[in-house]
Amino acid sequence: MLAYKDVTKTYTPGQPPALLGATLRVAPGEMVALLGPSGAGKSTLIRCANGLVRPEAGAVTVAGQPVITLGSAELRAVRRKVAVIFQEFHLIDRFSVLKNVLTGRLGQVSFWRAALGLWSAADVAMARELLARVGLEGQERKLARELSGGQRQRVAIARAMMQAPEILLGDEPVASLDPVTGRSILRLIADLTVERRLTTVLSLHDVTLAREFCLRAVGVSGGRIVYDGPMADVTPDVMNAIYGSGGV
Amino acid sequence: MSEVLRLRGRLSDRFRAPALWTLVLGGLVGSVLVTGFTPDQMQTWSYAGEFIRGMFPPDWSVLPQVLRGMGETVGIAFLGTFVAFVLAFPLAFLTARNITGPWVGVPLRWLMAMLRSVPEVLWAIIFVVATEFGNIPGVLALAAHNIGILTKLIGEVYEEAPIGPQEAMAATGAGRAGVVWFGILPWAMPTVLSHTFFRFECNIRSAAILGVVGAGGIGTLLMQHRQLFQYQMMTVDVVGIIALVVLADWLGAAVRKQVS
Repeated sequence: MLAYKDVTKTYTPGQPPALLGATLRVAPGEMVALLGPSGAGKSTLIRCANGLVRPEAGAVTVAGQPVITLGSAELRAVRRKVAVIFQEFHLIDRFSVLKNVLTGRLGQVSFWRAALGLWSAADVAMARELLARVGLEGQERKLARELSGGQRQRVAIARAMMQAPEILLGDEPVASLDPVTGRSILRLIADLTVERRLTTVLSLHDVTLAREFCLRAVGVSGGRIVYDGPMADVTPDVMNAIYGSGGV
Repeated sequence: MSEVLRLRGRLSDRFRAPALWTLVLGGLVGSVLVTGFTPDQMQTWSYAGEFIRGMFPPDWSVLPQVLRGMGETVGIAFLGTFVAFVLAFPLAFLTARNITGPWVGVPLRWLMAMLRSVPEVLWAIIFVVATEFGNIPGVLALAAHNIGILTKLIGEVYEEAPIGPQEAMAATGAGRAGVVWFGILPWAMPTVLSHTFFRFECNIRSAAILGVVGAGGIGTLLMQHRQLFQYQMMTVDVVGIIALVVLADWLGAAVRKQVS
């Protein structure tokens, strides 16, 4: 469960807020598409959920725990439950695929064990299983930089699943991929959401793709949530409200 | 707007050329007055011919000593660079603005600036006085100067690391150490090593002359032979120093090609 209540965030005092009174609840097993123009506040909304951004007002609750008021040790504990995938994947290019997936355990294992590469046999087995699940069996020893964009995002998804998360956030996870690859990545995320009962929130700028995979849409415009409802009800009028008159 | 900013503080075109000429002519006259450098001073060049004739033929009997001196010089440079790297690598975590706050970072950056603003030769003189003649003060001198340089260079590499992988590591729940180790270091290491090898190359050149102030290596021989008017032996020293500098250039280029 992921819940926002009246969340407000201003990056620069005097400038308009990036988020203004955002309220939203997402349940386990649900996959929600965040729609909205660039700069609407989608990334800020996503980053508030794991404390990468700290809002000045409101409350964010992750699996029953409030995120905003936590100290750094408690925040780390919450972050373990919240996996994030990014538009540019953010893998460690010079590491092998397997080692990249293992870094998903950094929140659980001691720093020294991780730094010395002393991963437990169970973790390594889990990483191999996840790589097989995302379709990268046999690629464990390749370097991340040798992979294509779609394969990199698959590694990032395996790394995210390595956290055994309750919540999966995606900040434009397919915006750097071609439509065919993007569709296969969203298919994978949708399947994992059901299999693992994840609470999944993805910002997607390709509305056609979003319609294919997400039953619920949340429209963000100017830092406010202007639509929250079934994807099927996102009519041209709703699109206008989200994207302005140039949106359709 | 940018045009306005770029031109701010510049003299108008009418005054710029006269200002430049005043600066050059004033500098010329002032420098001649300060240094006493006049054409009739050139007479001293007549001794140069005699001196150069005295250097030939080279006395190759000192070659074993010169080779040993060259070896010592490379050793001084290597140890000086090694000690500097071992200290600078962790210190750079404390000077990088994206890793450590200003309370530690600012005083440490000042300290590093002081270390590197003292030239190697001055450090060598200090350490020769404080300890003894020989290779040890040479190593310490290079280490002292290069801790300041390498900490700055390596810290700046850490600062330039892209934020993405760091955020990805933080998002897994990793602590600060994990974010730095996995989010910054893999990206930074090639550049860090490249900087360090470049300093090693520079240090071979520096170490070659540190002996002139008594801090070991081939410079010591050069100094001894000059003081005893053994110019034919000095020729071999000079050849040795040139060989070292060429070697350092070649080595540096080869290593950087591998690392990058």
